[in-house]
Amino acid sequence: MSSDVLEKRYRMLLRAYPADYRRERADELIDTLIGDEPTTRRWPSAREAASLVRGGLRVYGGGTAPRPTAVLFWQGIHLGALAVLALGVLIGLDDIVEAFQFGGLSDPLTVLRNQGIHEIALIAALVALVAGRARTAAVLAVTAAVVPTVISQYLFLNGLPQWWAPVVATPLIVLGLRRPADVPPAPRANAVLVTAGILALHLIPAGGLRMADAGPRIVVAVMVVAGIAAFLWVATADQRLLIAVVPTLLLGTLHQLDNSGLTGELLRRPDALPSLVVAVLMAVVAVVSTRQRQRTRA
Amino acid sequence: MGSASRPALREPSYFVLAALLGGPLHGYAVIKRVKELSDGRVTLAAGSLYSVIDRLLGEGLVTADGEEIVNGRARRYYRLTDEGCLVLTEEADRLAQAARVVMDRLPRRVQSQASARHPSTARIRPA
Repeated sequence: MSSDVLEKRYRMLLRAYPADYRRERADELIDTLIGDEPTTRRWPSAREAASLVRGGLRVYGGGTAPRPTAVLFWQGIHLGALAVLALGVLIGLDDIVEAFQFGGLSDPLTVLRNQGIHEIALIAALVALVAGRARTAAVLAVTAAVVPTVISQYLFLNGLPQWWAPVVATPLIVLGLRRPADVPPAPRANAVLVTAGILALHLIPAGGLRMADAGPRIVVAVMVVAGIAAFLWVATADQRLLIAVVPTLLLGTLHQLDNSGLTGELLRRPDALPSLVVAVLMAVVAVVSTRQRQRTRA
Repeated sequence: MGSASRPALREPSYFVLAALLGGPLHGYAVIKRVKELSDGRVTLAAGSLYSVIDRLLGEGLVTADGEEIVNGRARRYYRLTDEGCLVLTEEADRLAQAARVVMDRLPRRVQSQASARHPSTARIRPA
């Protein structure tokens, strides 16, 4: 009986693997996990659970693909485009809510002209990309960068990060159109999950590290460390995330560069240049090490 | 296919290949055999084992060797390919040569101290 419960729980954990892989291997994995010896365990060990989740992430990251580097690179840039558009949408929504909170209700048409059109175009590009319509997404991303700016230069002149989102995403989407036929697209549900994870990373209030009070600063420091640790735990198994996070950090850097120029602020802000440099280095290391591993005997 | 240009096997891959030297094994048996061969140093979790097996399958060093149904579940067996056997032999030879470089130069006193301290678990890392 306990073995049935354990098997059920292992099967839940196996959902970390892509559906194709599960179809091929789930029974075999369960057989290996349960083993031959009688067990009274009802719960998988933390070690087995972590190993299964990381195993699933490795498969998603191209670990079993004939060309892992190609999967890492092409799916990484697709996820990067998704993440940067989603971040732009999130920041844009936050700013629109803020605009309405501070007097925008008296002149909603101005808010719509200044921010709403851009937000709608950005959401449309994001939806098209999630739906796998890359060409449409590219056109919509260009539209999001150009048309709202022609109508109102509010976002552009204020150098707001959401204005940069389609600018950063467009070349990635266009580059993604050249994905080789033997590299599969990232599964949609997985792409949405990866995007949500990267957004969660950006929602950590890292700016709080610069607060004067020690108490809140410690809380923020714990959140930052936990967030980075969780990200690295996932991203060292599914290295597409190391590529996908780069454009989102480029957004913060471009925003700072636009607003403050080459000042110390660019180096001090946690979501700007320092994180971008680290992220780029990690992405390069991921691609190079995957290439080497591809050449290495197992 | 000169061995000089072939990068070293990683430790889990080395032990998985070594476990299959005795004949085809299924996943759970591979885990047990690897633990036994490495004196308990290499304990593979199932997720890690299948990451290794997937890589070895991709490299053509192991191959699936039949299935049987046990407790209503498919149990797949794996065996070494000729290429896998060759790679494992070359790796073992390389490790033995690397070990000899040190052992031949160690003073006898240090050798006996080391073997007294760790009679069977002296670790030789793949380069």
